[in-house]
Amino acid sequence: MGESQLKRLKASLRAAGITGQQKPKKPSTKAKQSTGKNSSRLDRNVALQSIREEFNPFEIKTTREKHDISGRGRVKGAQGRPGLSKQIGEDNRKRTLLVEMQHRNKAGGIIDRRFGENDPTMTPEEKMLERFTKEKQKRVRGGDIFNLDGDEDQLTHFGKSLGGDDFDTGNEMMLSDDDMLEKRLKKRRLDENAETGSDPDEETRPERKKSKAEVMKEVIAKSKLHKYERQKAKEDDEEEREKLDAQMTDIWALLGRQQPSRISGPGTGANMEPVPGRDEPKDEVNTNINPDRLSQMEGKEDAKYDSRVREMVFDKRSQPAERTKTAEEKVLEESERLRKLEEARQRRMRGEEDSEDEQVDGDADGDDELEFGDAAGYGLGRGIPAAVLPDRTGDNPDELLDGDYEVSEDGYVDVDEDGVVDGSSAEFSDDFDEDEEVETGSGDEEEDDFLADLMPSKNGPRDSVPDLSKLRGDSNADQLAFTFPCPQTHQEMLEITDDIPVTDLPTVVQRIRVLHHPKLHAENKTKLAEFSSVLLEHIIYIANLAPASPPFVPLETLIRHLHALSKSYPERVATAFRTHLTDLHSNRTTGDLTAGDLVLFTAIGTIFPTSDHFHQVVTPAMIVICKWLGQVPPASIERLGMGTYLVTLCVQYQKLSKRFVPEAINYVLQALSLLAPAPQTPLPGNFPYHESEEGLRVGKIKGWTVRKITFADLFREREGEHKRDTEHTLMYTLLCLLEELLVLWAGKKAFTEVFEPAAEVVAHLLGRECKGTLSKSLKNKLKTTQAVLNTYLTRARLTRRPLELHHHRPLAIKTYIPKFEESYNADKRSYDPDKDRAQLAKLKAEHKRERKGAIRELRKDNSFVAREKLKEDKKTSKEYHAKMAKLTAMIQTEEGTAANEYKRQKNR
Amino acid sequence: MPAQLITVDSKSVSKKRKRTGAVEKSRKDGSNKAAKPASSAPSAEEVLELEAAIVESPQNYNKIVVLLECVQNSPGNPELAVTSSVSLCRAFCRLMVKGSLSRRKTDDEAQATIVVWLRDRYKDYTRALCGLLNHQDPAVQTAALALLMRLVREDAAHLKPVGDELYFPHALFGKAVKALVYAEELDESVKDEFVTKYLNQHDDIRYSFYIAVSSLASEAPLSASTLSHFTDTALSLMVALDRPPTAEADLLDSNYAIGDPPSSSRKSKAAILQKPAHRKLLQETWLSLLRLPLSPPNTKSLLLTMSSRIAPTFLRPTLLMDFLVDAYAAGGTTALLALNGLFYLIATKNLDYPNFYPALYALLTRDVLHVRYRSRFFRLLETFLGSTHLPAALIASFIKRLARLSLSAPPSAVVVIVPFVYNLLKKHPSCTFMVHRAGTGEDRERWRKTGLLDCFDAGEVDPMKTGALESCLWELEMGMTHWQPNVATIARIVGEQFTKERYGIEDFLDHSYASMFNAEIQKSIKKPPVVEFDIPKKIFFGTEVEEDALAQENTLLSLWSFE
Repeated sequence: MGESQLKRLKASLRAAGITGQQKPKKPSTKAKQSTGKNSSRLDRNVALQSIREEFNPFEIKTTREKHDISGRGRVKGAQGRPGLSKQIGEDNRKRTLLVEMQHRNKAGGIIDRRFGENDPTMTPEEKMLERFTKEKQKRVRGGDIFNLDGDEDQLTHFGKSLGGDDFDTGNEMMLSDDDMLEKRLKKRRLDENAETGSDPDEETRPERKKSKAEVMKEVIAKSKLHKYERQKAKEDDEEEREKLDAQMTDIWALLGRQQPSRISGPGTGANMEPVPGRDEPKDEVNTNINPDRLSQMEGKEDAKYDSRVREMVFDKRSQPAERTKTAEEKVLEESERLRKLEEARQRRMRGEEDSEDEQVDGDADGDDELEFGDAAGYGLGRGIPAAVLPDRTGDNPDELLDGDYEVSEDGYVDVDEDGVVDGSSAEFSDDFDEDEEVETGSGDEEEDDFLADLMPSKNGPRDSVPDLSKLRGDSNADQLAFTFPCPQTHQEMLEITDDIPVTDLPTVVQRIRVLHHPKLHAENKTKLAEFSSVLLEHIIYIANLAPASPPFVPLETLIRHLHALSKSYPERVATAFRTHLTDLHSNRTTGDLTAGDLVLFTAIGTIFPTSDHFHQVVTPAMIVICKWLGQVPPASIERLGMGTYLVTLCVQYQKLSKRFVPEAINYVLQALSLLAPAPQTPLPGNFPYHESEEGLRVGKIKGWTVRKITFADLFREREGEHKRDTEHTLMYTLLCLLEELLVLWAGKKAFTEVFEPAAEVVAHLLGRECKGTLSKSLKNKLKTTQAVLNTYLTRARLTRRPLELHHHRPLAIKTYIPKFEESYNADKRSYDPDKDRAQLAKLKAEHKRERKGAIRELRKDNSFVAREKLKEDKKTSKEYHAKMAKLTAMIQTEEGTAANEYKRQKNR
Repeated sequence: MPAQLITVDSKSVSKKRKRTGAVEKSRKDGSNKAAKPASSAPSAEEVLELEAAIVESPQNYNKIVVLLECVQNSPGNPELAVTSSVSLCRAFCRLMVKGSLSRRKTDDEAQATIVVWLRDRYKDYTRALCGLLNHQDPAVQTAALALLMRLVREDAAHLKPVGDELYFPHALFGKAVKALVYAEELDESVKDEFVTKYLNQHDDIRYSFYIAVSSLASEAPLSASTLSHFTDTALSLMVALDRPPTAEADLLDSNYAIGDPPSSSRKSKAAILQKPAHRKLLQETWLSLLRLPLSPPNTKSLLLTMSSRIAPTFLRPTLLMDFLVDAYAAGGTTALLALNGLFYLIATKNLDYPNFYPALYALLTRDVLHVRYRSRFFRLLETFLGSTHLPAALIASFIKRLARLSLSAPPSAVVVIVPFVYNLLKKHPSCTFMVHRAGTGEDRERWRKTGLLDCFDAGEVDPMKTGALESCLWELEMGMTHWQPNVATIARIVGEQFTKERYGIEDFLDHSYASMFNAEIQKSIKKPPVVEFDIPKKIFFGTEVEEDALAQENTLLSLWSFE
């Protein structure tokens, strides 16, 4: 770099061959001569330009590095030529954007594709010459100008052939058929050639050039042949079509459609069924001649066809009819349905559905920051202080009614002719989406059938429950009114049923349900929903009327009606149940229960799935039951009986889910200990034990035989003998319950712990102190119970294994050692071990870069456009001014001339 | 009746009248009402006249006897009793002021006799008043109490022996307290009044009260029936003492009867004014009371207040130990409550209780999860078992016992037990074998043949020897299938990985059936509840044909008949 700027310039100029001694004379080649002068000038300019740039220090921009980083290599963009890149950008824009700008708002235009038009290096003479040769060559190549098959010069429209000689068929719809035709023709030609054994190519192969006349002859022959072939093909097609037309009626029949009534002709004729509306003499005549021709003659054929086609467009797609199913299929379907329902039940039993409601996540959040602390995750509520909160279930039940009933719209029970609610044939509303559609599809008809079945029942005198009528001898159902208003409050219900015997209630309810079927009126939905809660209230009311002997026959039917209603209005019915439970919980859980309460629990057990992990009605009901069992001391035989009933319900509820109910076994053991003729000391197990003031211990009774305990036993006044009978029966029932519990919880891990005390209690009952008082049949029962207990216990002991609850993968110990990169590379951008994440980051960076680039480019484009516009504006305004100046000058000249003329005239 | 005496003492009474005017006024309403039924007995006016006569001249002292008769012998006429006793009170007060009741050296024989006689009447009168405390009518009781307290004040003011500036009529007050405590008809309102107006207001009354109660307690109680009544009332009064003197709390600094101490030097000597004396007396009173045979409810109420109110008043709380240990040894709920007091002693007074853990273990009875004090017990249990230095065998016994109890516990108790056991297992990792014990192949073979023999001995008293460490917590596994969904969910934590450090037991303590029910019922129905899809064929009746088949699946039908 020791040389001066000037010296370097000179040197480079010389190196580029611009100054100094010229290069030796160019070798004399013709090609060079033609373009040499031009190209050398161009080269010179380029070279000069580059030298200029090289020596302009402002053209190069370098970014100075603050710190030198070893091993990084060259940094991109450390040295740049802003001028150059700007220039390149400008040029690019001129080439693209400017052109676009100029073409904006302009349509059409001619693109000059003449040879060499845009080539500045060609002289006009050369251009002309080239064009001429091109044209000549084209002529020679396109020799077969009269060839009809010629592909090259075919007229096209949008790339499609304009059809040439196929115009006579003239049907645009056949366009695609044309191609087929073409192919067919070609194929036929080939076949013919094969037959003659001569190859068309072979014929043309001889070197001798054909004379023009020959060629022309050949061409003409060929075209004639083609024409003939085309005609033949067309005829074939016509034939085919006619055949199809003849079969049209069959097709109509196949389509399963009624023939459009407008269409006359072969359809009716073929079926030999004279259509009444069309029996006209004209038809008679017409049937003799070809109907096609006739219609053709009438000029209707096409119109008819078109109209048919158009009609078909609007036809519904045919739906496959429901195939009659075979017996096996029905069984299969039924079993599939049951399987699905069972699966759903299992899911609910495991509590999987409610996972979003009860988040079981004890470890999640900080210790005691939350309102309920650790207990918060378990949905236990606020604990005892919450007990004082007023219950708000009763305030506005209508709010809960707003939900849609689509799902359960069809949840009606078939009431067959005898009025017996048939559970199995009932449509059910469940939560399967796939089933829903089927239901709504087929539901309408069945619903109508359901109504149709029921409507006549209003006309003929019919009893609600036939076997009941047998029992009672006669029924006055025929004296019942046929129409009832839909009661919206229990008061209304009472008014309606005021003088109706309880046994006729099912009929009344059934009639109310039919009369206010949701299909009949829009408001009936809400009415029936309200009615369902009234019905529940009434059921309890009826049961409470005669606690000793509630009319179970109508009650059963009523509960089934309620069940059916609850399918349609689950929320309303559930709310009603919950209201009753709240009432029961707040008012009656410290004393005796009423018959209505027991019926309520029974109804819950049948209407709702009791095996669910959580259920809006069953869970509160269980809480109430267990609270009663656990907290109300069994002070009297009545209470013991109620408790026994509740325990039975517990067993019933847990039949499927087999959950553990400590209160149930506690109650059974406590009741047995209380009933035992002699107190047991020490008491086995840990069940709570309240000695009652009233003597509950079983007394002696003669001739007691095994009998089922009756509901009436709970509410009967009892003295002496009768009391003892009840006690014995109770004890018998309790023993049965104990066995039920054994079966229910067999296989549980803590089986032994639960039932060992029971074995001791039973042993005590069989012991010396108690033996005397118990009757023989009861002792037998005790012995069987003991045997069963011992069997189960032995088995449980044998199958007992230690707990192995913690087969968890051991947790990794957290490490806090900082992470070092073994092979660090400055160029490597990320060390993310997660490939997907790394890729994503890369993509994001790229996107960002691109975005920035695009923004930059757009800005530059904008400024370019502005610049160009300004330039143009300046240009136009300059032109305008120049023009105006010119005009002014011209006018002035003319004026001057005129003035001179005038002066001259004047002077003259 | 003593002989009637005629004495003359003519001093002006106008001044006294003025002083007692206010009292008179207030009493007047009552006496006016009692005016009518004066057939044999004197009417209200006559009573007033008698009173005036008594005060007027010593000659009329015999009228005292008349009035006294009225007070003593009018059970059917409470108004008369009240008026006459009020009049007598006024009369005696004036006489005291006059000095007629106090003996003077200058008195001659006759005067001395009069004083003695008057004093006897005074005693009679106070006795009668005490008797009135057992009157059926609460109004009479209130009046009697007020009069007695007034007499106490006057007594202290005017009958004080020479030289004793801080005289308090302990004897009189003691009589009143005795009557109060033994009165079987005593109304609650009177008791309240006594507590709020006197006991909780004045130091000297308290002091005297302590003396009275302790002497009464140390006297051999008369019979079982009166004893229980005595303890009931005395304890309720003692417990009702507001702000008793403790190490921190000072005296009330207000006296009822005794005048202000003349100088600070004297004050320091008088026991009645000093806190240590008060405390010592109070402690003695308590001890004497606690030595009496107490009924269970009394013991419970005492134990409930033990750590908060009684123990802090003691100069030496360790003296309570006997009582607490006895209560603790009694077992049951009493022991549960005694725990609190014991804990107080152990924690603050360094009490060493050798058989503490066995006794604690013995507390885990069948009832412990059902009683009202469950949460209190668990709080203490958490404290007692909180140490990591306890032997694993002991902890295992407690865990196993709790698990066993959970089998018969209400859901609200299971909810406590599970996190509690979790915390214990977390703190004592050697106990985790109870939830996870994978045997060797040899073991498995043995188990397959004979089943696993549970080593836990539920009857063993010593928690170190129960063998619980070798057992397993099958009971908690049972809880995972509890009918209450939330309980089942909580029970599952035992089977999951023990990642949480500990559960705050406090959050699980306050639950009950009611709170659980409310929590459930307050959840709004978000999605329609699932309804059983098949309407059952039979709810109450089984058809004859299917009877047997149904009985298999329907417990209700198989056990109950609904005809």
